[in-house]
Amino acid sequence: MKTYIARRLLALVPVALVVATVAFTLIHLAPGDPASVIAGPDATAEEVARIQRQLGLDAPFHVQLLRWYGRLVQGDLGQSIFLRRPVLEAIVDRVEPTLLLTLYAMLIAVLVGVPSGVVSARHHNTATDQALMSVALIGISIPNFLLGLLLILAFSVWLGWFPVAGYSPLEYGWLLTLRSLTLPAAALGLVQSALIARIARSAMLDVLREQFIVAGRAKGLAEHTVVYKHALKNAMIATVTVIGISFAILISGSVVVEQVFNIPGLGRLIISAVLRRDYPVIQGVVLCIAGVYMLVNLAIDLSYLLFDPRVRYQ
Amino acid sequence: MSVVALPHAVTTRRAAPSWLRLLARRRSTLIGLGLVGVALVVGLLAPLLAGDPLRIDVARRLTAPGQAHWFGTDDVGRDVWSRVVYGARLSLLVGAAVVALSFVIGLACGLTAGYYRRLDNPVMRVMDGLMAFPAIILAIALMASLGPSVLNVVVAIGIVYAPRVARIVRGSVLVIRETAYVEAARALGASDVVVVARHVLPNCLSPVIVQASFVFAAAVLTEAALSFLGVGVPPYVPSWGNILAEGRLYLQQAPWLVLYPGGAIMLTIFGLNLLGDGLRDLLDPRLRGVAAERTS
Amino acid sequence: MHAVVVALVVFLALVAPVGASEQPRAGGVFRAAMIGEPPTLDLHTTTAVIVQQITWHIYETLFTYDKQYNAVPMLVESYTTADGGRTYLFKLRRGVKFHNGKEMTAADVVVSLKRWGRLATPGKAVWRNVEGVEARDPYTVAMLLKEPSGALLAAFARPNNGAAIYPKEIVEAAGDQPVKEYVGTGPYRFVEHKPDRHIRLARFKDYVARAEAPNGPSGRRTAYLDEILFIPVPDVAVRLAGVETGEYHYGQQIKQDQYDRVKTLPQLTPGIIKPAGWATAVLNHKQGLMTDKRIRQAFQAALDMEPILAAGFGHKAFYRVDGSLMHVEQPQWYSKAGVELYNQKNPAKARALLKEAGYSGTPVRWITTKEYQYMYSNALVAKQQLEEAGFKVDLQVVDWATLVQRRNKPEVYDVFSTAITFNPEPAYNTGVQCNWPGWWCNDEKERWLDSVARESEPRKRKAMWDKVQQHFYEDAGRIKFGDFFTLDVTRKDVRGYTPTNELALWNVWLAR
Repeated sequence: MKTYIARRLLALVPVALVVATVAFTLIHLAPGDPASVIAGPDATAEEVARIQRQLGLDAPFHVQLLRWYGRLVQGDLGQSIFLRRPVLEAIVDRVEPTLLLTLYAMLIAVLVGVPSGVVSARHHNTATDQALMSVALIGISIPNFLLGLLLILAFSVWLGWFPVAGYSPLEYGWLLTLRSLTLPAAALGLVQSALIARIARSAMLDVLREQFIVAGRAKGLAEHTVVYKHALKNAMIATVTVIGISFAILISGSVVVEQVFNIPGLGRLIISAVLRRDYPVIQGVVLCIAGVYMLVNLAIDLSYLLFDPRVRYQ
Repeated sequence: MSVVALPHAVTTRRAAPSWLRLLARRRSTLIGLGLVGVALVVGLLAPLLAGDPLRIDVARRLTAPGQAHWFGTDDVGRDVWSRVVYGARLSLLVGAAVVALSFVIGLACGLTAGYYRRLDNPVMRVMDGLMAFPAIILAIALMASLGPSVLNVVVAIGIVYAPRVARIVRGSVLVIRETAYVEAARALGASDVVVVARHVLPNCLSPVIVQASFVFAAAVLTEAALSFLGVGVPPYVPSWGNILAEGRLYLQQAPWLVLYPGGAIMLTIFGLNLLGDGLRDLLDPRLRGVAAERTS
Repeated sequence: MHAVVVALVVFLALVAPVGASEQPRAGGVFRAAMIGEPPTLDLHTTTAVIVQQITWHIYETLFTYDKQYNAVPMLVESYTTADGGRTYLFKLRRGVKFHNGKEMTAADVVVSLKRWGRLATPGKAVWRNVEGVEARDPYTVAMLLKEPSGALLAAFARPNNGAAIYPKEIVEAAGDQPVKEYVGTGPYRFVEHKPDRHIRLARFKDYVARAEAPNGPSGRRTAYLDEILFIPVPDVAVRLAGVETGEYHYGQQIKQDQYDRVKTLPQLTPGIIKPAGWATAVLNHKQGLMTDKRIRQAFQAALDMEPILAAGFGHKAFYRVDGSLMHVEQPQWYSKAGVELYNQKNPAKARALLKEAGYSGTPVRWITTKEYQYMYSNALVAKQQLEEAGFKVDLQVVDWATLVQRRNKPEVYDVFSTAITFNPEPAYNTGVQCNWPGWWCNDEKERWLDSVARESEPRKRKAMWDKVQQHFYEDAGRIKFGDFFTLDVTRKDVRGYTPTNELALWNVWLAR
């Protein structure tokens, strides 16, 4: 078991290196000298020189790359050009709405998706199954921002149940926060739930065909014991994988949804950074999100130790 | 995502006519094909079907759908039907180009990694690294560097999806490489290039083709999202994403600005997904199940 | 006994709520939804209206306007003139405190005025006529002019890019760079600026108000609100939605299309600001395509203003196709000079002019923004009209803060979008200034403008102003699209608020 954990951790290193390098090269991909691209056409020669010094762009490429790694290891994500404060600070400032939105969306996605998939599998090839899977297919075909706009139209404009947009910070009360996040979380979560439903259904179907299930039925176990106690537990591996990956997808999906609902989170941060060519912020946010993604994957891999006995004895 | 690609029995016989028949048998796949077909036709025949999507006619701003303007007009009087039609053209163009680009890169990387054992690790680590960035985040960051244009959107989304293709190709290649057929060819002295081109490549194509439809759908979605956010194609290029972005200011007064382009996106992607599902069930029954679901 | 009790109860029931809602009450955090981030908080350095709207709660000027746009004393106690109007002696109010506890003295005023004269657009215009300014004693400032000026006090009263009085140490520390601290004498003090989140102001407890009753922005300013939060909300739909749901108390620049709907909502009060100003495209006279007069004239000839304005302002009640640079609401300045060149709708003439100028199809670089939604719509419609006349237009959309920065660099644009807000004094009207982006400079025009500033006789001033406006059109100095009025929205529990361009939140309170 220990070697499994060690191997997983070690496997992270080269990936992390690639991630850091990709984030670093973003500044250099733009046509033209990076400093003047960042400073913008409105900058004087002194401003361009200042940015060059501030970002260390006057050093040769490999030196810059090494310095970049060094700073990352220390947790220094650089200084935002527009906001004039450390990137890490700007990110921490905006994590609350994005995190809450992602968790809320995750909740919706799992609570809607898993039962749908399981029920669908249980009633395989009946009308219920067809209906649920058709809905699921529509679900994965609709962009989350479009669903967001439609939800606003239905629930805010016509029914007035929820605010049209905006985020109520936790300090004003968690109930208000939940209310302001419901439509965006629904937009994110429902789309994701369709995917989870499809995969949960597939996983359940695969497991239900397995020998031990057939044996269980032959033994005379009640149908619901077979399905819910034995099959579900085994289907959890695949489902947990998808849930974990969904988390990362939801974080990135929140980028778009935050724009629709005007939520001041990481999504809005990276979009305004792109429009202002604030590269340190773009790099910082991209790194953080990729970092979370890698950690989530690691957590999933480690969770197999719990769910899949075969892994434990590798 | 841990995709284990299990290729079907390795044959060198082309199976074209029979799969077409099989395809036609599944109703949902047909519907998918139909929707995609409609989108293709609309996109290709755009100049014939629609007026000028850029024509501003302020006197007629925000008119509801009717005789003169089937989908109504937007806030500067542009015809929404024309914009949606040209948006279809753009989406299809971007989708096809992204599929082409990501497949070229993906095949190249996947073949190399799968065939040459020593290159496997480095190439796949790079692919893993790229996949550690969620698709839209990486696309946004790349667009920040490259700047808004249709070509850059294609490049950015192509780079984002290439690793996913590469991974599938590699999986296939790893298995095919060990088959007797390939070993025999190598024993007979065929060069690497010939072996790969003539024997490995054709046999790893079917899981790849299954992905084509999904990558196409993902490209259309991602382009719409990028344009909606304002970091995709330039604002004067009619794109479904752009139209939605401009339309949301008038959600209450002019819901047609959101409903029609939104409907177009949904139907196109729905069709592509149906088609993809059908292709997958058809070409690779053993891929049905957890392993093959695309997750982003 | 019974009857007395009943009568008492009835009396109290009638009196109490009436009293409670009419009396201003202190308290509350006011949330104002603004169009975006301000480019700076240093009032001397920019004409951007959003900067003035936020900072004039922090800073004060020597004079200010009353409701009739007369310049009346604000930080000044009294003043005298001498030497035929060439010398002004300003006696400052005593005991006026800065937010950092220091008392305001003549030294602070002199240093601030000098900086304003160096950096601000109206300041530079005024300073052409200034011989010197000095502190005679701690509470007296002397201003020596080259020629007498009828417009000096109006210039000091002007809120936009105004002559704010800063503490001497802060001015000296900053020099010509933006100030690092925002300290003034106003009823609210600066607390913090979190970019993209808010700018927080809090009541200044030691504020010394004037004694007179409020009259427009002049007179007594009382800070009823505990705090004011200026929140950047670039999306106009979200701005309005936020006021509807109560997240914000006030939303500025609401789309005029929404007026009919807003009128019907019980929790909202719409405010029409009429006139707000005139929408304009500013041409770059320093570098680029627009340095050629024929190309400018072609630009001017091709435009049809009605659809441009309709696209930007929607509702017909919110715009006016009118060429006069001062509004019809200002009859003493309203002019028809040169107006035959306004709204020509003549693409053929434009085409001919372009041919004459040898225009080879180089794209006209036009910077605009969506944060002021109308600017984008104006530009979009104008672009199509220009292209039909043979121009090629490259429309660049950025956020407002970036536009304000970029318009200072002549290398990067040919045209930018903005609006000239209503101002009662034509001499310092930004739209005709030389020392302002676009750099429309012309010796004769500057002389006429100076005369407008210096003359006191109204008819002579008007005659000079007519000349300026005539030249504005003949030279195609800048392009006026038309007059517009803006819509802002407040919640019903906001009291004491009068809609104006400048946005005054003192004397405003929140009902319970």
